Amino acid sequence: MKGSMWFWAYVAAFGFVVGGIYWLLTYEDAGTAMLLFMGACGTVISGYLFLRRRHVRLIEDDPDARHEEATEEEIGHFSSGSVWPIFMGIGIAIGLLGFIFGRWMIVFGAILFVWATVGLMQESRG
Amino acid sequence: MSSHDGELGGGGRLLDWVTTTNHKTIGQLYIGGSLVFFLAGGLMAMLMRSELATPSLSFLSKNAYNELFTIHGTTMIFLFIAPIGLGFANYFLPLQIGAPDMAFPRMNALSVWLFLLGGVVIQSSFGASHGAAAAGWTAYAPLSSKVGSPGPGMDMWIMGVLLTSISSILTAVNLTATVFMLRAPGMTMFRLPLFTWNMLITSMLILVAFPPLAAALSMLFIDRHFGGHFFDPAHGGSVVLYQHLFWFFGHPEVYVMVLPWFGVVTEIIPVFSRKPLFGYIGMVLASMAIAALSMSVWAHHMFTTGAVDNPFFSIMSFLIAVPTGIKFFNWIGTMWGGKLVFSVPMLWCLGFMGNFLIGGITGVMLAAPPADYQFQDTYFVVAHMHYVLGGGSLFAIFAAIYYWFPKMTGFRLSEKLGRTVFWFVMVGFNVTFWPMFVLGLRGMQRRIAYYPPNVGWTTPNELATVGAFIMAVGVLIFLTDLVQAFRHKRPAGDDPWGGYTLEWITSSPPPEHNFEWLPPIRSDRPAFDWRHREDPRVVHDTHITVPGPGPGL
Repeated sequence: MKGSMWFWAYVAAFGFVVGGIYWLLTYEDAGTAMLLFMGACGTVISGYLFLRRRHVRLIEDDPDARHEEATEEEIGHFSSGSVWPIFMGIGIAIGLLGFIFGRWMIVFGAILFVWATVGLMQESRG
Repeated sequence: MSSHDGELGGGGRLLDWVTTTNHKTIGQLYIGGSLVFFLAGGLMAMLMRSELATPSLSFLSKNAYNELFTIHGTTMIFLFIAPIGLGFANYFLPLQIGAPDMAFPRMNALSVWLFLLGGVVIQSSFGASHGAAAAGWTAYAPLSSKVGSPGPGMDMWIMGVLLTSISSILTAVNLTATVFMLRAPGMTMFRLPLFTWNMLITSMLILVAFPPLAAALSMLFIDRHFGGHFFDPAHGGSVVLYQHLFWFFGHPEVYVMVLPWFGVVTEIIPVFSRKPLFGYIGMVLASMAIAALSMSVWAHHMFTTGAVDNPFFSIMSFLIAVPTGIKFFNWIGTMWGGKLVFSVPMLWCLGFMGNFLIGGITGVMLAAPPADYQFQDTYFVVAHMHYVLGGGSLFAIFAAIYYWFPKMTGFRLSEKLGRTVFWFVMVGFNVTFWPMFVLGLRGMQRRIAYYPPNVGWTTPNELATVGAFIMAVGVLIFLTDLVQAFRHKRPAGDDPWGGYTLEWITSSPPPEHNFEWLPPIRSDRPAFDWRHREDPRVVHDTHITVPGPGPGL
């Protein structure tokens, strides 16, 4: 957990430091905004991990951990095969192509995407 | 942990592929799809090289040539080199960290379908009225505006690239979550295999770089169809803004296409040198430094606009050579004194090192603004880019295929044919792209379909075309090798190379959830430790610790 936190903290620090230097040298808006945005993204993630650091202990961060220690650990449920992701993808593709070839396609793509998303959620709930 | 059923039961093989959420099948879809797009992009390259074999226009129209170089570049970058890295990561990253699957398997499935659909949209734009996009893979405004590029081909390009971008972002989220949350006990961050480390850093780059691309493409589309003026100077917009947004994505994208292959090469060289990796920590920090610096060099592509701070971007670009040099130093240090085995994967790695070095050094030349002003938009840039992405990434991609094919299929590729492929591609590649440096120095512009006959450009162009055909023969032999491997089904065994990382512990191909058991993880070479557990020279209970502000950092 701490390793992840520091990883993102370094991303944030780099974005802010270089963004600041870049602004002072160039007064150019677009690049400065993108670098600072990079810093902000890193801050959000590392900040969240900082706040959660006392609540979560990852066994994989323990260099002497044994596999037996993880056998009782519930890390989540791996989904079964699902037909919904491909329909979600087709929905997104048709919706985007609708901006080129006709607005009706946007409606069709959106309906397909929402239908597939609902299907996926229902499937996830078992 | 509860397990999943893999694919939907009761259906045919096709339904299994369509409904899969298994990371290995999704990885195979990525790799297979990318290779198909590679063949398409290669075919386009052959058409262009055939056209350029003679000075005058022979069989392509000027517009067809423009469409070919645009879609060739787009295909190789967005549909081959970057996604095949994500494909290998999908397949091998969970295996390398001892995880049963990716963190978000269904999102993973959505990612691969978005990639494949994006690719289909881009390729099918050849059938659009006015043809495919013809503004180059960078789609600079105003060439990509409604006036410069009328017709739906350009729009299909925008939407296709947007789809692949969304796919990449989702995959990056998935890889990051998987590395941070699903490592096996004892697999600390500084025991991660270098391929995994590099994919983690690549994912970070994708997360930071691709949103500006999505923004640039959306703004371009708004300009084209909804009366926007983001990139229209006549109405207060700025074409340089497009370049800023595009290259803030575009230069990190170079490293999205290169860092995974640095990781692959760093996996392969120690195994075939029969030595531990020289400078593990240095390699990780070098990858981080390359990634970080790559975020601050975007405008070295814009020196000649006169609208950017050339010294800042020049210095930052020069700095990238330092961590890259560290990597070369460590690869050589790993081989130094090792018991080298020149199997096919190792040959490709050595080819990678030689060619990428040429690409890197010419990159340093281009990072100097006075030189860049001379080289801008000449074939020198084309040669440099191909030595980085072809000589670098492509050679390492072949290394990865030859290294991991036995694990993915359980079958061996032919060592003899593999060597033949290597030499055809190695010779063909250099005969194709080295003359392009000469062409660039002699002033030949990129993106032209014909040229004057008496300015010294004809012979290098003829050579380049011959080289391209030599490479094509190599690729055909590679395809033959693949077909023969599936036909003859010569068993490879679980660990044909004596690999160091966890994927070599499990069966070939791995079972549904990857591992029946896992060895203790006490170093960055758990498979090696396990195989030599009786050897007193193997120390099991040591782990890497480095002083610093973070754990192991």
